[in-house]
Amino acid sequence: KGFVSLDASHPWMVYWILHSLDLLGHFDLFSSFTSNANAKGDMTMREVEAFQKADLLTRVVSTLSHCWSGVCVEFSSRDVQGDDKLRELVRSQEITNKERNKDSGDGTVTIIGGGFGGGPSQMPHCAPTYAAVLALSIVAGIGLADNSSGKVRNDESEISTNKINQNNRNPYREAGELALNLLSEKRLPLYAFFLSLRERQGTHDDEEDERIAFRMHHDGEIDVRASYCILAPCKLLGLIDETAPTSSEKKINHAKGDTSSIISSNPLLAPSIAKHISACQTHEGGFGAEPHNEAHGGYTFCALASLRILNAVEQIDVDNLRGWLARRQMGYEGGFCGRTNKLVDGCYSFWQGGAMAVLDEWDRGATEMKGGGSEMIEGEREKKEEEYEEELDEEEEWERSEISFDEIMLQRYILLCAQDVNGGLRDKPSKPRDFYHTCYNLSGLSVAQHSSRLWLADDIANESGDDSCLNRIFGDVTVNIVGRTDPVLNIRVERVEVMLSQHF
Amino acid sequence: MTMDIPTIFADIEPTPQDDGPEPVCAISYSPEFVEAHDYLRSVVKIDERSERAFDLTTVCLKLNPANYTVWHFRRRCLIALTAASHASDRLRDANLPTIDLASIEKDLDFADRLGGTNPKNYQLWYHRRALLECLLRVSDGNLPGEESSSGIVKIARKELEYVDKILGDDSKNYHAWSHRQWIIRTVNNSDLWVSEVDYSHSKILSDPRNNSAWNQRWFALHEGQISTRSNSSKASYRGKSILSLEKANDEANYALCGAKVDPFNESPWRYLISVLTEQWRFAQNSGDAGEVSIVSALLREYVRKIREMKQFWDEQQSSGNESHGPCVSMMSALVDLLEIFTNDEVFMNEAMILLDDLVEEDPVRRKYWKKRKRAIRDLLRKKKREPEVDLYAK
Repeated sequence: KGFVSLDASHPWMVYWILHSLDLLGHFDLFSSFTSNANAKGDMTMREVEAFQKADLLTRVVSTLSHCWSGVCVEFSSRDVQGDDKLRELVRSQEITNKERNKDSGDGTVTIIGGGFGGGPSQMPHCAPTYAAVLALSIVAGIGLADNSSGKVRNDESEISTNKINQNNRNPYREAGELALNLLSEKRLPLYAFFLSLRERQGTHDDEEDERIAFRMHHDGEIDVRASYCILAPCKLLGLIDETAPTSSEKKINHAKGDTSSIISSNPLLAPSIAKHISACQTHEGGFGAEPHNEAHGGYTFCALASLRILNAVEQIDVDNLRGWLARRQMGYEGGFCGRTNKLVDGCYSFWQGGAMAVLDEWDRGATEMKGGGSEMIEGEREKKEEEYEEELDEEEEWERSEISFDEIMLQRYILLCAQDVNGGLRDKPSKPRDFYHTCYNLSGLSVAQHSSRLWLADDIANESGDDSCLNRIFGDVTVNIVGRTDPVLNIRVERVEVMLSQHF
Repeated sequence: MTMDIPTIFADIEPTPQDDGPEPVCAISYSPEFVEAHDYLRSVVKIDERSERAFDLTTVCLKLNPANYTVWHFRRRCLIALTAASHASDRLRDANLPTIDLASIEKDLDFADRLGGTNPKNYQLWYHRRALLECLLRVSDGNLPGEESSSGIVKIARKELEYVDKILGDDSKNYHAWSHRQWIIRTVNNSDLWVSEVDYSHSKILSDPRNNSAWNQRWFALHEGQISTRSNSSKASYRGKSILSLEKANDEANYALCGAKVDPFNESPWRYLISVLTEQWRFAQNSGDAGEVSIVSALLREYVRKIREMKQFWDEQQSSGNESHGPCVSMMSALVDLLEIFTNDEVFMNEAMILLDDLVEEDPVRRKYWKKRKRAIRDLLRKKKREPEVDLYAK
């Protein structure tokens, strides 16, 4: 009861709760990092618990699958011909329904796309789609951890998930497979739906200045959240990464005078998409919902994370953004506010704190010299080495890997102010707890506890040995530590790793 | 006024919600909620865009105004009902789907009544936009931007009044401010642009800490191209319109006055720095030495002014009359300006000292201030090695 106002947000509720539980180690089979003392109990009890949790995950997948809706979308024949995913979709649908998909002669093709809506029989919508894909990715990640290429990264426990699966089967495996199957089945229709949400912005005369935004749903609002709600699932489902050059690759190519590899045929990587996102940066340095809208934490996170996925962060005024983000942490409370001269709110622990983590990681990638790294050109590297020898003292080196905000103050706000004594987290004291604030306070806590490192999605093949490091921890680390969330995608890095190693 | 749904829809079989077996997060619906939505699902399935379907959406939206699917279907009904009943030639000839005037006004009113308890509901604000888009198409026929399009301007003003009412309850309502921007941008009438500058001023006066109002001022002056340099590619910076030097002077002065009212107010300081930085980047980008020199003088003038303010402030603090402590916003603004003059050793040293102070006085941001220090130090070292390179040619 009382949740009727969330009737168009079922997948959100699922994601908020599932991600919160995951961060708290609820689905970890052995206490990898948490103080989950139950894990030290007897084997039978643990097996029963695991069975119940596995059932829960299966129900999660089923619930989300009932939020799926198909929708017909139209493309020009030319667009379809130039896009291998659309072509594949047309092919697969032609088998089942010849009439629908035939070229209607006037140069358009009708494809059955789709997405997740806020509930059964609701229209596909970017936001619940994002929530659903993330939730399903968490389930897939939990269930298929033994298939991942890397180890479970933690420095606390000797027992990694890999070791478990040598002895026992992963009890979540079936649920994980169900989740993955659903995602596999829907990824191309999702792609078609996402493309159909594109909308040209501004005046149509200047082609160079072309900006493309996304609607949240058909006949719905346009704002920068949509870009993120689309790009994040696409990243997890392998719909954009095959041709996106990393920023270091771009640098090398650019220095060589080779610009051709920068241009990609993937429509999601069209420069006009990054251009629109960049246009949402305001004079203050943060981003608004639409160009010229006031800089705001939620939209800033969405914009920055989107640009990170597109490897286009260098297009914005990074210094200005950094300053704006830094000013959002409240000196007295320690938490973050959403806009200048507004109050602290626990959810911004992630929107702002997470944005800073994304920026920090990007900074590291952009300036760090990897051991044996091929990013640098010879002359540049020599110079860098010189500089580093001169300047790098111990304190500075430590600072470079830290998070840029005061992580102790943020953890303190979350744990002491944002917690409800009866469980759950909230905006601020005197506000009621809710699942949204629980999710984002915990996500912010995670970001504050785990030091920034190179983005897994860029780095997945690299066994760099750059294992989990922790920032300074407020309170007792064995009690307070939560899982490490990916600051761009906001699911645990272990789950991201499983998703990114799938070959769809 | 309740709707006897089963009777009105006696010919239709209701469709229960299919959550699948054992769903998670199952919501506990009231019986009236279930009934209304079971029938709506059926109606949407057969795509019946009728009067009774429209009334059913009203019932559903009162129960959950966030159901975007129902809003969408409601709009489809409005369009279909207009097409069926409207006699006007102009509407029938219109290529785009449209809604008649009376229905638009009624629905704006409906959205307003629902909006009372839901001022932050995305769907309500979008519904207003969708209705207004129809209205702007239908009325007057003149192209936006033309002075004589009084009908459109009248509609815009009425809607702006509505937004003002909402801002009266919550002066920082994000949707409301965003809606204002949409109206003004879409109608693109020069009078409205000018009056929006005045509006932002009145909001700033009533609450100088209302950052939304400061942001709106920037929007109105820039996007409205009020006193911006002409929009030729040479006179703009990265395709965006820039304030004229004269206007920049005015706005910088306006901002500094705002800062003097309460130096701890971040809004006017950031506004000031943005105005000045914009001029600086433009000047650098233009490559015009005269331009650079004039803008440089403007920035130096403000360095002087802020230094004066700081001096006075520090004196006040140490004399013991008032003790608010150091003003971080003011120091931060000064650093931002000083840092621009990479060739001026005095300025750069002053910036470094201020940053040291900031590390002490603004500890929550100490890592950020240290980063700024490091950046300046790296810049200076690089300059020593390559004095020819112009580091600010962005």
